[in-house]
Amino acid sequence: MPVPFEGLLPFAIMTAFFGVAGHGVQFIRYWGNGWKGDRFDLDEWDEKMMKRDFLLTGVQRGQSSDPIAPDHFKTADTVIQGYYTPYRSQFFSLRERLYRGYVTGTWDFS
Amino acid sequence: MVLGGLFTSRHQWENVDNNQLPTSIPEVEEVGATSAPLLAASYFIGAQCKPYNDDFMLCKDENNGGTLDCLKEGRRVTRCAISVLKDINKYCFDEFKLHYECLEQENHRTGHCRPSEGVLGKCIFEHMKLEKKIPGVEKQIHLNPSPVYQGTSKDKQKTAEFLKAREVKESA
Amino acid sequence: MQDLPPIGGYEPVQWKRNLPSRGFRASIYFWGITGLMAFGFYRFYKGVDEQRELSREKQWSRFYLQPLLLAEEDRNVARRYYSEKARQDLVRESMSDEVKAKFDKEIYNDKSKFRFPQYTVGIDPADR
Repeated sequence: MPVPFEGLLPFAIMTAFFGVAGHGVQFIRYWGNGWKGDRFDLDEWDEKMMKRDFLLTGVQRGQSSDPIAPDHFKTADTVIQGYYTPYRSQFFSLRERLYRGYVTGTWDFS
Repeated sequence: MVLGGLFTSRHQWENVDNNQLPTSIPEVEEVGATSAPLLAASYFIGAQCKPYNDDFMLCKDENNGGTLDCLKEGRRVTRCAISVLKDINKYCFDEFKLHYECLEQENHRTGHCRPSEGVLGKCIFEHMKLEKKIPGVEKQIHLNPSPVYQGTSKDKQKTAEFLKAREVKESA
Repeated sequence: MQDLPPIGGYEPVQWKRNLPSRGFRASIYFWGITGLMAFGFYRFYKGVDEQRELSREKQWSRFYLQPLLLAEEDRNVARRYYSEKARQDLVRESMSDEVKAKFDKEIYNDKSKFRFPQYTVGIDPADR
């Protein structure tokens, strides 16, 4: 039961475009990782080590086998700190500050 | 940061501290190797630095965490690890690089980088007399000749190329 | 008058279909599928064993790295602690005697072990 090739053209087009999209994303990720495969299935250890790698090399996914760390590494650690507030996304947003500046005349662009 | 701060809340901030340790505490160099080289070298560091590592961990155990009490032991651990990494870089730099680059490509799964691991292990055994040994079991997984999970890495091919290139270099 | 069977009896009735049997003997299918499944289970449990050994390898590599990473982190924590202490001493110099006495008061009565200070935002419990 031969199928005329015209009937298969849409499928060819679909296959081609899905392929371009998928391989394109794959390529961009590979490029963005510095020509390396993705990291996945990461646990806390891996996350911490990747943070440490970043502090050591200054590049995401950078690797180096130097036995001795550069001097700045000793003080490179930063900690994100915060405190809980029920208004955390209400009163200090840009919109809120602009609104309050508009109403009260005290503009705060800090 | 000023403009970025406009769009986010101000209930989070970065805690940065640029002060060095006080001079009363002896200085020590930090380990500069990143995750993949450390993973590649871990068993050799463990084999070489076992007494220092055990000493440090016991000190921490005995001193309620011992963050301030075990700095001396910690310095010893770091110095030992640095010495092992220095030796590996000195004798087996190319093999080391081959292996940790494979690990980095393969999501740090050692099971997908066996050929290059074998080459690295051989080199390290020749020069430093250190061997990878997984404790607690007779069957060593890294010596399994026909594993079920082999992955689809190009490690075998790359290791073959590496060995061939070195052969050519040695014969020339 | 009654019909009687023909002399010599009727022809035998063909009640059984006369088709050629398809495929192999049933026992071949049975043992074939059994064998295939046995092989599959064998591979599966070999894989399970291998996964266990792989995770063991990963765990031991981390155990070996842990002391050096902990030592690094301890030094970092100690660095921040001493730096905070130095800052507090600096602030303490400009305090009035009353505030200084309050500042110097020990937080913990139990002196058996060292504790890192823990800071929390909030009202002083004494003022509540």
